[in-house]
Amino acid sequence: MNSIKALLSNLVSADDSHATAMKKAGLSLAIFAFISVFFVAITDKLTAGKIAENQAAMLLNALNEIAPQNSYDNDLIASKVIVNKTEFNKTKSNKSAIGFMNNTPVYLATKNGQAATAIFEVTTNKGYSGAITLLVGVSASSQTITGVRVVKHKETPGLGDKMEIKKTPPNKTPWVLDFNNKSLSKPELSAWNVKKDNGEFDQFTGATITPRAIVNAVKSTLLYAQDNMNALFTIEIQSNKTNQESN
Amino acid sequence: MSATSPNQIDVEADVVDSESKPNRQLSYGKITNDALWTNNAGMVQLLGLCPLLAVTGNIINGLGLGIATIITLTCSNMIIAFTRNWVRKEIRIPYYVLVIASIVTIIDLSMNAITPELHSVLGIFIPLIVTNCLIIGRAEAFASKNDIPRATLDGFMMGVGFTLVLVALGAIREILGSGTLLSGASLMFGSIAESWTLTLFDNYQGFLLAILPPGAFLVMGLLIALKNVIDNRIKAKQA
Repeated sequence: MNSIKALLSNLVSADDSHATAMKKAGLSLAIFAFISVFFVAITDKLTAGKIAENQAAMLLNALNEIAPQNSYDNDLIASKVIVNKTEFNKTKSNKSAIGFMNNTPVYLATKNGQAATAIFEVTTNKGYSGAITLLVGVSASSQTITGVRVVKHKETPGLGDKMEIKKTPPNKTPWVLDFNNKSLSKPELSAWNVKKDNGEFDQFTGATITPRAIVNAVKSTLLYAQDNMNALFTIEIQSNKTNQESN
Repeated sequence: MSATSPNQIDVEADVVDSESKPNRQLSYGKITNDALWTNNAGMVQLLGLCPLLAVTGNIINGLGLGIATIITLTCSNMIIAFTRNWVRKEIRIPYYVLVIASIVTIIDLSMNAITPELHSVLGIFIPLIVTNCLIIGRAEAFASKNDIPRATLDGFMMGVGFTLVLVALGAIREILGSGTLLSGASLMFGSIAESWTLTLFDNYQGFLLAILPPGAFLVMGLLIALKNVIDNRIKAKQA
């Protein structure tokens, strides 16, 4: 410790020639950079595991809001399938499904080896200011919505962000809960729009684009689920069976 | 950041001459008074305007950025005062950037691991602090010329002064823009705070300008004007 101090004090002396001053300045900056990186690296090492754990717990919390814990008995986070975005967008009955930006992770909840709920983490770029990421839960048996939650967005504070349950005033019903138990036949496919586009869903005062983006994203997800639900679960259930047999 | 900060610092050195004289030991009372009112970071030095204007759409966001700034500014002032005799003046600016960036990263990682709930609220503000001229401004103007207790107090009090401006700005914009106060308090204070949100006007349609960045500039200008009025009154009374 003392030798470092001595070295550092030596590096500050003012009566150096220009060349020596430059060398010393470079050296001392390098020493400080090394010390800083050392501390950042230590912190990263110490916290990495805990952070990953926290994020998994948060994801599980969000998923459990849509598929309650008693509705499935598999490891929800581990049973994740990634649907390629081009595949998602080109599904036959899904021509209207434009604007999905990323590959879509799908979390598959099963109970007693039977398909229960598929939770799609879709990201649409049709928001007012950039991407909106939603969790859309679809029941495997009835193809109805079990829940919709907005997890990430950059919509206008005070207007577009009313789709967050947390931002809903306490005396009002959160808007995203309107989706519960809806399906492609309830309402009719043509009514899967905001009221301004002759549909069934409310828009917000002063913000139509955000609800429109979300309604369309949910509709597209339902259309995709209608065609692919079985295929998604087949792989998952089979792999579970092989796991159990090998156990 | 480094391109603009030297200018910021020059401007500031003109504003407060007493701090540019290295050997004068300031009293703790004067440091506090300077930080909270006379040389307030938000209203007089006008440092850190980018995050200040960007997030103060409501009180809770303002408070969030304020708390994150207090923590960072206190730590960075302390460390920079501690190392002030070992840093050559040629490399002081890159050194400050290095220290501040490291502190912000360490705080971000630690908060994410230790208090994930708080991090999910304050997390978005922490990267904003790296771009905050206030931190590097205090490092250059104060921490590099004063002892550790004074620099730490200055960092903490500057942070508090900044937070007060953020909260005032957030309150005014929230009332005008959405007609509420303390909305989203439960995000920061947990479920006890759920009933804290006040709805001031029923069926208020909102005044969008107040929530958007131009409204922030307008309200900020009015706040500075108000401070000048108060200062002039005080001067007139003393005269």
